[in-house]
Amino acid sequence: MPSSMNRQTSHPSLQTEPQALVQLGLPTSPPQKSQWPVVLRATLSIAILFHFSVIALSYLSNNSLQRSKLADSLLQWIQPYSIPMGWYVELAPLPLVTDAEYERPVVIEYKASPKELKWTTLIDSSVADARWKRLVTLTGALQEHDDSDGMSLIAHSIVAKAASSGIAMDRIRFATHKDSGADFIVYEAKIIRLSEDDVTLVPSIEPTRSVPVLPSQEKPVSGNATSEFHDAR
Amino acid sequence: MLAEWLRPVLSLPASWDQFWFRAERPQRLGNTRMAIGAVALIQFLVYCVWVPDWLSGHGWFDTETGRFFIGEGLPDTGSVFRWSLLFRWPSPMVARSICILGAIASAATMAGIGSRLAPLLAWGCMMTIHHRAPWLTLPAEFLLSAGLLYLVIDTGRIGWSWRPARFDSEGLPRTSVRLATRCIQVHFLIWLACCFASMLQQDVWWNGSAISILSEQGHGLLGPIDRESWLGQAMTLAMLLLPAAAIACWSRIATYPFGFLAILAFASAVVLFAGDGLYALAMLAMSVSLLPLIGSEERSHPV
Repeated sequence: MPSSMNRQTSHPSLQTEPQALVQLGLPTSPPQKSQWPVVLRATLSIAILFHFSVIALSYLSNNSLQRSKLADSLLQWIQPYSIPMGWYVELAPLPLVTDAEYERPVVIEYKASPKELKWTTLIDSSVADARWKRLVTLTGALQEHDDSDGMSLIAHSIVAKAASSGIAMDRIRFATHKDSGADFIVYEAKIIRLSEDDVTLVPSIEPTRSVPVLPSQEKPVSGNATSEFHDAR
Repeated sequence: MLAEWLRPVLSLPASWDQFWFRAERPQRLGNTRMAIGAVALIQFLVYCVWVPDWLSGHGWFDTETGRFFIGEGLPDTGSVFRWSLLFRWPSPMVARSICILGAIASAATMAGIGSRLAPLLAWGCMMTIHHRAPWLTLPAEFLLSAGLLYLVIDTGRIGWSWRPARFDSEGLPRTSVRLATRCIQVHFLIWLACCFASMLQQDVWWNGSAISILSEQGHGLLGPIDRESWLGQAMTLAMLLLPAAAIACWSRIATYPFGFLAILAFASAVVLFAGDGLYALAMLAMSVSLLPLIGSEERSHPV
């Protein structure tokens, strides 16, 4: 028998687990002493405490309630450790579902030319894979926070990729279906081709961002402002 | 009297020491490693399908968009601590190579080849994809990346892993096996507890509509379930209780198998209603670390 097999301890507190296992008919494993020196174990104990405190703090901070200032400061302080390792707030663990407005299915649609009347569906998140679902959830959250820059970047990325896949677009929109039955436009933009490989998007909700305002646009407009602007031209 | 009171406090250091650093045989960790390695392999095969198309320079989620969403250039976003080779080399070929390398490393982890290097490599590949687009990350990746990282402490290898565990020199108790096993167990239990806590904060888990909404949004095998149906409401309450039941069962060694059954039921519900099979598999793989070793060689070779 190898000498290391005889490493046992008779510490009374360790006798309970094997006894319970015997009663259960489960395998018994005799308690074994640690093979590491005390200094190493003490150092590792501190590391373990720190590590799991970081994990618990990060995971607990992912909730819908307001975080304390102390938690915020600590989360900021542990960023050099938590972020590179992938343990940080606001991602996990997820509650699986929240029924937030921005989690509703979104349809990404496009028109290939200005003359087209009907929208063509590019992606319907209710039947798309999990990655598209995450993306449209992200767009919904952006829309809720009025982050048009983020929306434009995502839309631009999709338009460019679609173009490289041979799908030409003139307009793109993200729409969601409300309980009332009406379609709600999360984002809509006109696509302008600058060169062979480059396009720019003019969001419908902010027609003055990329183009000058003409006198005819100063009167109040209703509906799709960008189309009216282009119609006026 | 005082000594009686102080006894549990005085025994704390010894209990802590035994909990984390008692030498343990590698069979349970070996089983956990095979489970985590297998699920990570599936995860990387899934990555091979979507990552080159999505996360390359001109993918569906291009580099510029990726940089914007990690908050690059903004204070307090922690973007300087994110690392991804896909920001530096955004070609589809690099993306595909990372996925394939990760798949090979995961297979090696599963088979017990490559010692600690295999799970470390698999973890690195997973994290480089994750840091490229953290907002597209799904729950399975969080659990798997944690599991792979803890396997770097010890892989629980006993010769070739698909053979029955032998009582040879490599099958002897090791402190590093105990530490790695405990890290996986504790991490998973914290995950479950926080998952339960975050579910408790959502109205939909209390008013009985969560399962129906999940089935509407996901690709569950059962398809959409009516919000007014008894099935949906009953399953919502049952699913809410399962993480708590698992944690409660794992507080006593006698009820460990029931803890695993609770996770099995929770994972089945995730597949049936949300359609997230990888998350279900990742949970089951992590919970293998909490399974008692029924019928193991330890029984026939008492020390």
